[in-house]
Amino acid sequence: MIVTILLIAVGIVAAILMQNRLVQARAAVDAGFHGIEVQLKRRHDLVPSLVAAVKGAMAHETALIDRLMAAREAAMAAPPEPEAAAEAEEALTRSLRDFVAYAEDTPEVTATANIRDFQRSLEETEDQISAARRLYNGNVQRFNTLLDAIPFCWLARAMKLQPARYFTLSETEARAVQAVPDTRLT
Amino acid sequence: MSQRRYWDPFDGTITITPIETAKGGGIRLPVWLKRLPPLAIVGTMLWVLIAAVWADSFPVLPTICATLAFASLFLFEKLENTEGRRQARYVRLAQDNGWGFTDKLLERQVEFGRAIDGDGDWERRTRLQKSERMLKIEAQLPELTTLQVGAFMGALLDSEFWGPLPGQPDQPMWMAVGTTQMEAGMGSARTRRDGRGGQGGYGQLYTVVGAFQLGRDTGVRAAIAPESLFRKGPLDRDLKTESAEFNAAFRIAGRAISGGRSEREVEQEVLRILTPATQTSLLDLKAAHHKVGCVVEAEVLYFMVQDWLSGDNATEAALDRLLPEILGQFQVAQQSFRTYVE
Repeated sequence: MIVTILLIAVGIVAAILMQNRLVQARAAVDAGFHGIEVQLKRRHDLVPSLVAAVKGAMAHETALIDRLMAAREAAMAAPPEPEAAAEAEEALTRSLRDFVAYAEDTPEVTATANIRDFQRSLEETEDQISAARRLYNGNVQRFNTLLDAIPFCWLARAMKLQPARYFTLSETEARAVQAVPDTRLT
Repeated sequence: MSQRRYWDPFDGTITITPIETAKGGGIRLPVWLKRLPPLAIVGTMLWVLIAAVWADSFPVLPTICATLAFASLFLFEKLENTEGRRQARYVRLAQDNGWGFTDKLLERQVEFGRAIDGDGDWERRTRLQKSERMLKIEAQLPELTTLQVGAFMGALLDSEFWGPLPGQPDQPMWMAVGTTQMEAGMGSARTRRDGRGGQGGYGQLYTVVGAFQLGRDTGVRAAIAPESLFRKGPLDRDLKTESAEFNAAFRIAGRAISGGRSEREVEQEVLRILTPATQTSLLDLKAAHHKVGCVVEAEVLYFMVQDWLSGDNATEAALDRLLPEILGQFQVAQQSFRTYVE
């Protein structure tokens, strides 16, 4: 009788510890995603300042500005999920790259605005986003490994936990990095 | 030899007489021969213990053998001129990089004391004490230099360098280095391999501690030290970042340098310093070296690396190549800290 009670007690304690570990791993995934969101928001906040700085010199080229602002709006409105956020951010990355490439090639713009400072801030933010993505993906890997490992998988099934999704660089974004910037003005 | 003045993270500025010449020379002994004394010491000490327990009389023969084993260790060091060769290498390294070098400040000091002998009489004894400079370094950087149970064995430092960072003549740096022979023949498989493909029981354990200026006063002291084996689960109560990998690898602590800041504000400041880019660069360093840690104190970034070279890799030339490499890796990491403070 005592042995049975002890075994049940040990089982309950083990289940509690495992559940706590799963919950912690899940919380780490969420924290990692918030880390990415913080860096993405930083990039969103950079765009209006960039546009304001060059608007005077680019008064006639509204198409690029409109495209950039629309991409920013879409990125800000994207639901807080890895796939949706990644897709919207890709569009913003492309627009920003096109915008900076045009600004760099246009002497009126480089003469009136400090494009290099913005570019440096943007590059730094991109680095932070990429690092935040790596940290998030590390958390996802840990969580997903726990979900596959015995005995955690039994408990995870009971808790209805789903594997977390990686925040990855999609094929389109990877291609965009290599692509020639689109600086068409219409 | 003329005196020179350098930036120093512990004293503000320091005036030293850099060592500019050193006698190299010495006999190069084969590795297998150098491995014998440590193994002989362990073996003969065990023999002494066993003989002392089993025999009724004083274990004369084992004691003589143990003494000879210790004597051979010192003899080999003298024959190899270990200290002189190290000095000569560091003088070259300092000259190549425009640094000042000395090992005088970290030299252990002989201290005279009194102790009671077996008959209850007082006798005069000497013992080696850490230098004042080493005690100062340890007092300022305990996380990176002293034994942290379950996390870090402490730093063994013997030489110091001051001067500009490679490629950044306006950026002063300080670096202390310590190397020691390591015998891991009876250790685990992990300790018999290094992270660079070297394999074998003989090795060189090295510790590098350094400091750069960040360029802005952060107002806090953030310590990112190797995580202890014993701080798991509910005992793991340090500051946490968003990365589970980083939290598992490092113990994070912070405190305000001057008053007027709440604990919450200090915590936020420390977490601001640990941007994703900073965390990933520290994780990369952790992947490349056995133990890595750093401390941001006001406007200074201190770093520490401890690792070893095993087997064929454990050469003096490999160690000399490593020092600028480690410095370069921390310069990269420094950039991510600088980005935050700018």
